[in-house]
Amino acid sequence: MKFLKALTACALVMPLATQAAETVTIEVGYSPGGSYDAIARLVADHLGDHLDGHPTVVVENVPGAGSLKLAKMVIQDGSGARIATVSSALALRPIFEPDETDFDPRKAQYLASLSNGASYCVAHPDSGITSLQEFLDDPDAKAGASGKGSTTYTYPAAIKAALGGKFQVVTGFKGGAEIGLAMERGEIQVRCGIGQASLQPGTPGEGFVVIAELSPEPRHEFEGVDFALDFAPSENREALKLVFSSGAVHHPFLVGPDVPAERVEELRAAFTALAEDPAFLADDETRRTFTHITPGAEVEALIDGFLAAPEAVQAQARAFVE
Amino acid sequence: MDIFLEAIQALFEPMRLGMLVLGVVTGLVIGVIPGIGGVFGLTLLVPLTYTLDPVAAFALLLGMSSVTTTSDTIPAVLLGVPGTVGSAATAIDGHELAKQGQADRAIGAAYLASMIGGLLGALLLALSLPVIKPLVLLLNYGDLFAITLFGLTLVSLLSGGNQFRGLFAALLGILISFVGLDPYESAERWTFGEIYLWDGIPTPVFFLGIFGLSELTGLIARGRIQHSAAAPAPGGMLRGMREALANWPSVFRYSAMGALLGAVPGVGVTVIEWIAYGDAARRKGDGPDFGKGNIRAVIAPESANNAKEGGALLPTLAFGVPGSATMAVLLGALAIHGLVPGPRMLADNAPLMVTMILTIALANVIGTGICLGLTPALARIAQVPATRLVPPALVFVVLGAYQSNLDLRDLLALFAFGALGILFKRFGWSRPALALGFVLGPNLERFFFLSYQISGWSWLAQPLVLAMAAVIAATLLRQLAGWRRGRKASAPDPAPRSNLALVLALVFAVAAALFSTFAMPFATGLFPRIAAIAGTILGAGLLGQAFSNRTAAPAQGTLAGVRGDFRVLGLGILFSVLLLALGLVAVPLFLIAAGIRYKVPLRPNLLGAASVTAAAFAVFRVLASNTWPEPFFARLLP
Repeated sequence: MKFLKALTACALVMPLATQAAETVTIEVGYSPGGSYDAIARLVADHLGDHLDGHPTVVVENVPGAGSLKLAKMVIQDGSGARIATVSSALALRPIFEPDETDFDPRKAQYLASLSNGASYCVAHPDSGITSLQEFLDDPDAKAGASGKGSTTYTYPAAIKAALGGKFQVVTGFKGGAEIGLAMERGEIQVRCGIGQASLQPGTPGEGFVVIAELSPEPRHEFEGVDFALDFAPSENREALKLVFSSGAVHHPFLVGPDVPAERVEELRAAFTALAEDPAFLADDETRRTFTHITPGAEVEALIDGFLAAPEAVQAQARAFVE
Repeated sequence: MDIFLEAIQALFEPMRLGMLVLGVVTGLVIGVIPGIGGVFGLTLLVPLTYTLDPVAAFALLLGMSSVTTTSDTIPAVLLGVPGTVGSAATAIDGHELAKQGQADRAIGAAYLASMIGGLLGALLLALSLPVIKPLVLLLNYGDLFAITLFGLTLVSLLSGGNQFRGLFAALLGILISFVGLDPYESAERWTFGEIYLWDGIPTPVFFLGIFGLSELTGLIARGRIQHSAAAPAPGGMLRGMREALANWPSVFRYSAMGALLGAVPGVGVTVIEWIAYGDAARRKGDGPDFGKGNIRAVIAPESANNAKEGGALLPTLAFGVPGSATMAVLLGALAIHGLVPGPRMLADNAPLMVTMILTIALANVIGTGICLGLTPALARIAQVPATRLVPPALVFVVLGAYQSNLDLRDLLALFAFGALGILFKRFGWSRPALALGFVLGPNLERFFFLSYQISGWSWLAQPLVLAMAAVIAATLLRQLAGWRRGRKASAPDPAPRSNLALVLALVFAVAAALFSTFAMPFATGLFPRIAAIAGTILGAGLLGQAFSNRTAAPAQGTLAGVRGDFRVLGLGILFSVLLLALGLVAVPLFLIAAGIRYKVPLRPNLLGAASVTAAAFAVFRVLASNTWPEPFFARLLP
């Protein structure tokens, strides 16, 4: 009976206990599953090794509004301890949504971005489309897209507008999974905005025909693939480049605007150290996440650069994706 | 055959079997707790698999995710609170049977249907491995649109006494489901500037409010789950199991349907179970009307929701395209173990794929076995005084609704839909019709726009679309005849004046919604406008009906019931406020206070509070990795 009483008392006071061990939290702006979640979990498994006191790093999912919800939370939170990873496309939001004055990606402090590979348009092998020109000229070709804020929409829409494409963009898919299946079914032929990592040998995307590289500067990661900007008339080139630019800071990790500089430096150093960490690189290899770490200061400079584009170029980019 | 034997050998190693059982037990526990489901379980377990070999890892993961839809029946039947979104349809008739003292019968039938469904889903997966591609590619968006539309025509069968009210409820459900960014233009609809509403009303919160809260609140007034105090007749569980077997054609039908639709990403378990429920209502069979405790209404959705898991694994393995949210997480786990889904996987890792299928099958058998063993004890809960059940259940419903986003607005939505659920229930409006509209509305719109963009109108000539159109026409004609006959015989209003007020409020809301659609871009406003026009016309008719009925005598006790329900809802709100102010410390405080209020003797009160607190703490603080916001009270401290 005494034991029972003690047990009851223990159970009742349990909620007062706080987490004893120090933990660092990485929040992901998307649901579990998908590349943002996968990369966050990869980072979480190794980041603690490079921080003082080797804290446990845990991942939480805070999905909503294509990660805009989390981005806004982090900026509002100021000095909060959370590290967040959100869509790189948000970096261009002030350009595409100029009326929305309550969100400025420059307010956050960036720790690193975890990939910078080019983005691509791919066609299903059964579609018969083998090059960017064929895609542009085919009035029956369709590219699948989710929401209009997603790069699955902004990229093909901008290509269509800037390069005079005749193809159509189909919106309303719930995500990459649905687009992939619709391609298998032959309902759509092309998907744009797919990362280099998803097309590597040994990933489900390896069977696709890569038809165009979408990046501000050519990378030539796949041999013989057309570089989209080469097809742009000179008056459209800068604006199209701006649309593609956010890919350079893909999978950014950030903290609130008021986090003290020393803490930001410590975290940035830990991210930079990951790039040399054999255990991290080995896991990166097994999980096929294909990360490439860009230091936080560089990420910030890049984003400042995007948003400092001349107003005329910004307006043209905005018109491309409408 | 060799592969099969190899797979059995691989899976039956003691450590791997142990992992499977551990997964199953975890899945069962997660299924029982409202508001959390398979995705929660997977994010919990995936890190544990880093050091396991792939067979053991997937025994753990698939073992867990295969059975959450088995045990979610327990709270659904006993309390009317769906354990996961996959058992909302089961809750309706299952809980009605529990009220009639037949909880064990409902649970027995549900488990067996779940198990057979799970096994058939696994079997389908096994059989289709060689022809995996054609099966996954069977249905295009035109077909899916037709299936969804068919699902919606089933609504009047779920309307209870008053068909027009049912139809109106469904339209209301559709309108509620349109809150958020539209799928075509990504323009905002009824979001009131709140980013929270961009992704729509969260489905678990909607179901916990409409079904869960409104059943829990009624429980206190009734005294206990079961109407009569007499102990249930023995053998109920076996009777339920026999009934599931006797209904084998429908078990097979809905299992096949669950597996097939489960293989289509973007359809989802809620849609599958509601279409199964509606279709079962359409077919002739024994027993009372659906909604009044028909065992077939339990068997149909339970067969479908467990079969879904096998189906959802198909596109995941075949193309690396996850068939459901849980499968998206599982896909990540495959990558961690260096496995690449796709045609190559079948060639390179055939034995592992067979062990996965075996895992699903075995998990269903083990899960059902464990649940059946617990049933006699669980069924006795039906006789426990409600005052001891409701406060802990409220705690779990609130925690479940809150934990996924830790957003105050989730709680506001929970209680708003709880209040709507109470009014619907007490005034004789169909909650299943509302749910069907809510679940199918977004798909109807999305599949239409996708079909139209992909193939204009030519999809209308597809064979399956034509066949579904014929079925839809036949169903509608039959219902039209039913309406003409049933017009005079519609059920009397339990509370005519209050009902008039409710109709007035709802019609006003629908008309306001209609008005606001004119400010939206054409495609964004199209479907909301169609639904709102139909709703306004139907609502005007209902308003006339309610107005002419307003002087009729109310049924005894209806208004007192509503008042009682709202008092219990207030209790839930009180707990939420405490939770926000104090954090999890609110759990024991609230439970002990509620125990004192309801005169529960001290010892069971403390013991109950302690065990619920321990469980809540273990799940929501230790296991869940979400950081809770600092309690309001703690912020006041220096």
